[in-house]
Amino acid sequence: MYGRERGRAVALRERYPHAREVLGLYLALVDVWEAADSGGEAGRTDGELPPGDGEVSPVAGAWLAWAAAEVLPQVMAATVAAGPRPLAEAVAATGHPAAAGVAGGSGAAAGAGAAAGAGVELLAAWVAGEELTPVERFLARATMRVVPLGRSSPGNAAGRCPACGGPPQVSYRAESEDPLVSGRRLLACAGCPHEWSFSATTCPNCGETGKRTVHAETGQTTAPSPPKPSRAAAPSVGRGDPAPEALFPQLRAESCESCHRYLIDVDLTRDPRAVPRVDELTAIPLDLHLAEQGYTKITPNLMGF
Amino acid sequence: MEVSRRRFLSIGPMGVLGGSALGFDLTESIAIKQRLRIEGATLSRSLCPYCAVGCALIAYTKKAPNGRTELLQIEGDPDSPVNEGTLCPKGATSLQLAVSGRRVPHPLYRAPGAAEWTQVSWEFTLDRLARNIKDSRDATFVTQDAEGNVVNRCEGIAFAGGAAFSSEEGYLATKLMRGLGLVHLEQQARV
Ligand code: SF4
Repeated sequence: MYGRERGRAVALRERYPHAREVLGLYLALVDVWEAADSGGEAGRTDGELPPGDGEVSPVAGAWLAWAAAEVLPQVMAATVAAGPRPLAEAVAATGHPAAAGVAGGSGAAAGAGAAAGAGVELLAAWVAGEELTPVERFLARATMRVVPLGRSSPGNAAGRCPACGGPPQVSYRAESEDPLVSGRRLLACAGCPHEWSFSATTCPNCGETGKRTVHAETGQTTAPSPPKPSRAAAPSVGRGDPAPEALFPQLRAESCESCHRYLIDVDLTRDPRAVPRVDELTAIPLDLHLAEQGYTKITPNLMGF
Repeated sequence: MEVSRRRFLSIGPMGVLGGSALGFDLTESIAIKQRLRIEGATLSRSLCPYCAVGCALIAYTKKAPNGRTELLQIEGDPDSPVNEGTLCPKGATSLQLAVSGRRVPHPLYRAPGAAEWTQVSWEFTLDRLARNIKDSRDATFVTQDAEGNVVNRCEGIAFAGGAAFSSEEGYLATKLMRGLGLVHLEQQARV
């Protein structure tokens, strides 16, 4: 089920040394998700949260209990083993039995029942959209990846996930075989696995239809050639070829000049092997550039970028 | 020791974990960011001017250092129910309507009988055009038709307008040509 993600993460880890840590942790999580999926589905039917109220239904509650008992400990163990040091230490410091021992946490003796209870609370808080610290958000998101729960009411709002109402994580252009055809733009949800078609020229955050900016790598840094002085530094946007020697030929960032939010955009025509959610994790230099320009991502990704 | 959600909440405040929110080492990413050359292009929606199908376009522009707006790319708008991201070869080359390295920037004149084009001034060109229009009009002006009706029309000149005409250009051209008495008027501007 996670074969494409895994393959892409392995390939990108080779291509992008700057994203080695991020993709290493991602691959460790993929192992957890894969194991949880095969072991966890038995005996549980679909457990959508009732839309509207923040109450957790018994079915959804069963899912959360299962995730807190079975998946969260695995996620924590994987994080301690494969995460960056500060994160591993922070997770180890929770004293959760799953994290203890591996990094010398002091809570090895803590009751598994109490830990699971705290886990359920954490996951329920994430589902309810409560304010969490970055580490908590990471743990909850990584755990809930394998839980088929809807969150809040399915969104009718423009730019929100029609399935769960969550914000978009990444934008991508469908591959098109014909060079005269521009592929449709799709958005991938940050809260659930759903993807949906969305206007290519509208801001998914505020709905503004003008004032869109596409940030892309430009051509050579060498001195511009005399006949077209300014074109040498032009960003390679749209369906044109990527800039020669571009580091991220398949990636761009799209920002809104009204709300100053942005999303990473993956062009599958430029790289049909790209997996938008995985490629997005490698765009850290673009994220840093956009932050410097005063833009904020519509929602940070699993790794906090 | 009891692990509670309070405990979860108390860990990892921003900043404590180093460069990124979760403590990833950003040294290499920062170095790459400094090396990358990233530019922004403005995205605008437009319409292909060539025919009545009315395909929607997306245009990418950028402000050049000299203050001029530079057109970088034009392509089909995938949101349009008319063309769904496609363009015919004419529309696909509409960038060249505005930006073409092969555009002739000055008038060229091939004298009657001559084999070569020569570069001439705008003054010469406009005078020459006016002269030829006046001569043709004088030579072919019809005041009465076969039944003796007064018509006052010029049958010796036809006018063909451009597909990319704006409404104002189309209005001006029609007024001017009707003023000269032309009856053969056609233009393709329909969008
Ligand atoms: S792209 Fe072609 S079919 Fe579409 S409006 Fe332009 S000329 Fe007509």
